[in-house]
Amino acid sequence: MKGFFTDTTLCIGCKACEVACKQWNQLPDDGFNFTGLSYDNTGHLGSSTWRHVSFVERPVPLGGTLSSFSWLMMSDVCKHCARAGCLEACPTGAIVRTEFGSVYVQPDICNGCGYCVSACPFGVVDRRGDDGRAWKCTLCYDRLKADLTPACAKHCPTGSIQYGDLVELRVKARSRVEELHAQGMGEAYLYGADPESQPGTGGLNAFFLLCDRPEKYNLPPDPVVPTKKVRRSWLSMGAAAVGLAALTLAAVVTP
Amino acid sequence: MSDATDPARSVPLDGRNIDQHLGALRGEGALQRIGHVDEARPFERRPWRREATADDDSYYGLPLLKESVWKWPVPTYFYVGGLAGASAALGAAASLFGRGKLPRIARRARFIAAAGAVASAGLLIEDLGMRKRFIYMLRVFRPTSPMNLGTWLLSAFGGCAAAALLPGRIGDAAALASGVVGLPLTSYTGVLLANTAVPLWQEARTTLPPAFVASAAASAASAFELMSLGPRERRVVRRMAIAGKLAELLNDLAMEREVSRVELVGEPLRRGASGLLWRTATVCKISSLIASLLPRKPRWARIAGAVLGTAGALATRFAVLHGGKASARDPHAAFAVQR
Repeated sequence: MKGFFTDTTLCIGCKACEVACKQWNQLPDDGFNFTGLSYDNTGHLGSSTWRHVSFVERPVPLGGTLSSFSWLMMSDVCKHCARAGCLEACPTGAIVRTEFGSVYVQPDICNGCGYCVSACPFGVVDRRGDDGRAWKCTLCYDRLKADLTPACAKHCPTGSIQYGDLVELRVKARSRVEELHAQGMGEAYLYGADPESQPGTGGLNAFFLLCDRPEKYNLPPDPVVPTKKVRRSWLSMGAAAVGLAALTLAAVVTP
Repeated sequence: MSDATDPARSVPLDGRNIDQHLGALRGEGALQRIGHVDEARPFERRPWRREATADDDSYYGLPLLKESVWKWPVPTYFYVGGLAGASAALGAAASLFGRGKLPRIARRARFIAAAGAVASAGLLIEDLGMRKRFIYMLRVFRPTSPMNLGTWLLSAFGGCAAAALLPGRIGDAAALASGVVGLPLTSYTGVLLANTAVPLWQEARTTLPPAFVASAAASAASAFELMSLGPRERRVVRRMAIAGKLAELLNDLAMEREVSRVELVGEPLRRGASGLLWRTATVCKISSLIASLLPRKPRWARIAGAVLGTAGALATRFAVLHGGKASARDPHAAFAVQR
């Protein structure tokens, strides 16, 4: 099981990951927007944007620093959830779990029904209008098969994006949190590192080290795969169907 | 591929900025067909509820979730599929227990079911990003995907409804089968919407399936009310209409309560275009119910009731779809549910 550990305290916002991703995967540019939102001119992950660096400006000091202002940067990516909403919703079987534990949309199968777009609790996967299919980060499936590191992790100059075996990454991430705590950055914590801390998704195969509430980074605080909540809906559906049967029978039988 | 080319190099401009004379595209995203290159545009910054502020607990008020990509065919299918399923159920009940006194209901239900199944398939294919791959829906059987189950249901329903047009015993047996399959067909769409990360749909997960079922009953009754029927048949349809519309209105109240457990989540049903659609639907349903309840119903009242009932059913579906889109745009609603 492979995955990413993104340590946001090491991110310098250089966007090399965004560029490397676009370059390797030969994705089209997204229009060179100027958003006015700090240095973030990308905005959000999308069908042709599989890495996105967010810039959070806060009038709050971070950890042991003296400045009354702090900047949080995070390279966002598909989380490759252990229980993935998109995969469970996909009606065609186009979305599969690969041998590396990543979640992959097969472009030769996807028929563009758009269900995964609404089923992802992170708002990652999107359908490209002119292409008609759903696209998202593949965890560089082609590179992994050739025993290479995903393009973004390979290009990250600070080691903020780390790729590797999930078990090892988790150990590394925990010791990194301890290290940060010892340095006086008590706010550092892991997001989605294991099923215990994020039962809704069974843990993320691409997890993060964050220094503020998840909302600040545009991450959901307690994501839950939709299928986990939908039991009540099936029961209610059964009751309603029985009700309709009873109604038609009663309407017909009554003289 | 884009028609635009770079005049200096005569390379197609597809936003990849790669000179294809120098190498072939082989990346994971190389298969992406680019119809139009994304252009710099005024950034769609839509803090849906309020201006993003420094202490605002969101990322510049940008949406957390992706808006549903479904367009008008989907809510229209919700209506048509519901109409077909409920009609088939009523038709089956009429031929089983009608003691031969409800022939027109039994016969016309078969036509509505068959035509509805064909129209449903057409609408669903129309909304696909890659229409020619529609059959891939039946590549797998995946119980975790209500859309996959629904496609199997619709296929079974279509088969039965088509066979029900045959004469004799086969037709009768198929009509019964289509009536049985029609029951889940009217209601699975509620689960389909509930099984998403969209706050409005997810929070309405108990009341969405009954909403669609009640609405389907009202739609079917409205369709039959527009036809010429015998007096006994008319009574059957009237009962179904009144019960369906009453159930719709009561369930709408329950749904408003259910989604408003977290205040922000219910907002799309109160504000904006989806709120307007939702209120329009309520007005249609109430006036339609009143028209159905008139004691000695004149012809105009019957037709008005049927038209309003249909309009209410359609408006409900569109309100739910657009409400879901508005809900996905509001990051605060998504966060509030999870906190």
